[in-house]
Amino acid sequence: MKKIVTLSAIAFLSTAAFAETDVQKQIDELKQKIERLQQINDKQDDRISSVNALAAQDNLKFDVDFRTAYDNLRYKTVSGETYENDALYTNRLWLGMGYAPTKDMLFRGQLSFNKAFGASYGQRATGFGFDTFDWVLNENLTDDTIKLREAYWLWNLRTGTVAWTASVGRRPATNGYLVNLRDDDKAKSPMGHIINMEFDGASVAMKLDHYVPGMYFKLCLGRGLTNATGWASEATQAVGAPVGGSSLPNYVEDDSNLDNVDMAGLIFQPYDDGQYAVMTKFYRGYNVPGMYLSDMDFGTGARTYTMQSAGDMDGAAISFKMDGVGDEINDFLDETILFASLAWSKSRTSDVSISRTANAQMALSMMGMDADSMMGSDEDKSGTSIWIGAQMPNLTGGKFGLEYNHGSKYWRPFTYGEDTMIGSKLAARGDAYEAYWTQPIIDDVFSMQVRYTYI
Amino acid sequence: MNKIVKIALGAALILSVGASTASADANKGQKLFAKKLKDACGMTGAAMAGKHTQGEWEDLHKNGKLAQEIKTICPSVKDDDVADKYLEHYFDFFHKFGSDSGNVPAC
Repeated sequence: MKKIVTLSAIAFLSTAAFAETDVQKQIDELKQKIERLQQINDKQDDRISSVNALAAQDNLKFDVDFRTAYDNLRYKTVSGETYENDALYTNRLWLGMGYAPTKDMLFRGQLSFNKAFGASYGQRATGFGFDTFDWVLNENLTDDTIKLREAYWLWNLRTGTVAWTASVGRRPATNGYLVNLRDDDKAKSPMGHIINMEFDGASVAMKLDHYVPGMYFKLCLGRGLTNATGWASEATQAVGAPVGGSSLPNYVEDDSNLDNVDMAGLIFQPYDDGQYAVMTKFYRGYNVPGMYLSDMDFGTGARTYTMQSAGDMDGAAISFKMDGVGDEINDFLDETILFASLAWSKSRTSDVSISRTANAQMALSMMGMDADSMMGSDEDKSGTSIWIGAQMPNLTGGKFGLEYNHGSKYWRPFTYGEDTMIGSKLAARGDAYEAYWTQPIIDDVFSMQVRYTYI
Repeated sequence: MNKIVKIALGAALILSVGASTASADANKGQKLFAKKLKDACGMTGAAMAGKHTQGEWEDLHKNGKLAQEIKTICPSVKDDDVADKYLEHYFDFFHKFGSDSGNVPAC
């Protein structure tokens, strides 16, 4: 009996020893498996990132901004006449594109469509009206073609503590600083008080925010109009259709046409700490064109105008923005934006020589206007404008905004592309008021704005 | 000359769809980054977002380690500037422009 017990004990101990060895072995195997799985997981993470990069960084990435609008417009003229449109329905599409092959080089583009509902019976986008002029092509209601609004490359550089950017292409100077608040867009580089139009050109920026928060200089160069004949210009002239043409070879300067229109501007942001910001800009537009009366039929009142280079225009502005009032006083003040801006413009007239009929001369004399002038005067004229505004959060998660601006008699900014159906509010000589309410409806992707503008 | 406009009135109702508007969450985070973190971090928001992939930012946010990671990358950031109420907006911004996102920041 004793022997049997002893044998049983040995068998138990031996089984226990084997079991312990077996568990340890299983733990070791599991550890190895976990390590292998971890390695596989890490590799898969790397691979997913690579796939993301392949899918995104080496290809164009699109974004969309599509707006449908109902506008109600009313005008009252000096003579007391009124004009109105009770219901103007429009669609506007911006299809943005981004491509960043490296962290130093990126491309951005934007395709655009902006049209009233339905057809245009010879009223809009005829190709010969100012609504299709290059400076405002995508800001006006035209046809259902997709047009290029933006296409530029941008190179990021760094020398020591100073960062640089260089950029060339079509880079619309629209939706600029402060005017972006109403449009619920991110600000682009121009100052909305003085510049809001499309242009092709280049810019170089030097960022000094290592020394002063937000400080940078940016030199902008643009060409607003190129004087060069078209392809087969002589054939166009010979046929006489639809218009234009010349006897000159392809793409050469034509002295009988408008001069090149160029622009140079310097943006200087002395300070921006994310809450308090000051932004300044000076520009000069060279050879800006003007419309001059060349003939008038007193019987029908029909007038004929000639476009000619009129002189240069200078402009400057200084804008202040407070993004959040105080420091953590409450959410309402944290989300409130206040701004004020002061701007100046000056015409720099040059000699203009227009061939006029006697009727045109007489008409100008009756209107008391200088014949060859800018803004109705053959003297240089300065104008000024002030602009103040506030944007506040409301209880429904949206934003409410109020703006006021006032321009003097000879105030003349380059804001033809400003996003209102009744023209540029900021170009007003006199008072202009605006109120708007922007309300997100579905998350941050679908929103509504109600706006009222008085110029 | 009698057609010169004296008064112009415009009323508009605009409905818009698109994630590139200033109201978008990522833009709010970008704005907060400029206000609260940029100086302390000494880098642009795009550079900061590029410190991690989108998946890594998701993990940090999900595991409640976003504030800690911001302070690791930017040691001089104050606790108040990574308060809970800001973290969701920072995450939206960092995630949108994560290193493998392919999204191109505005410039």
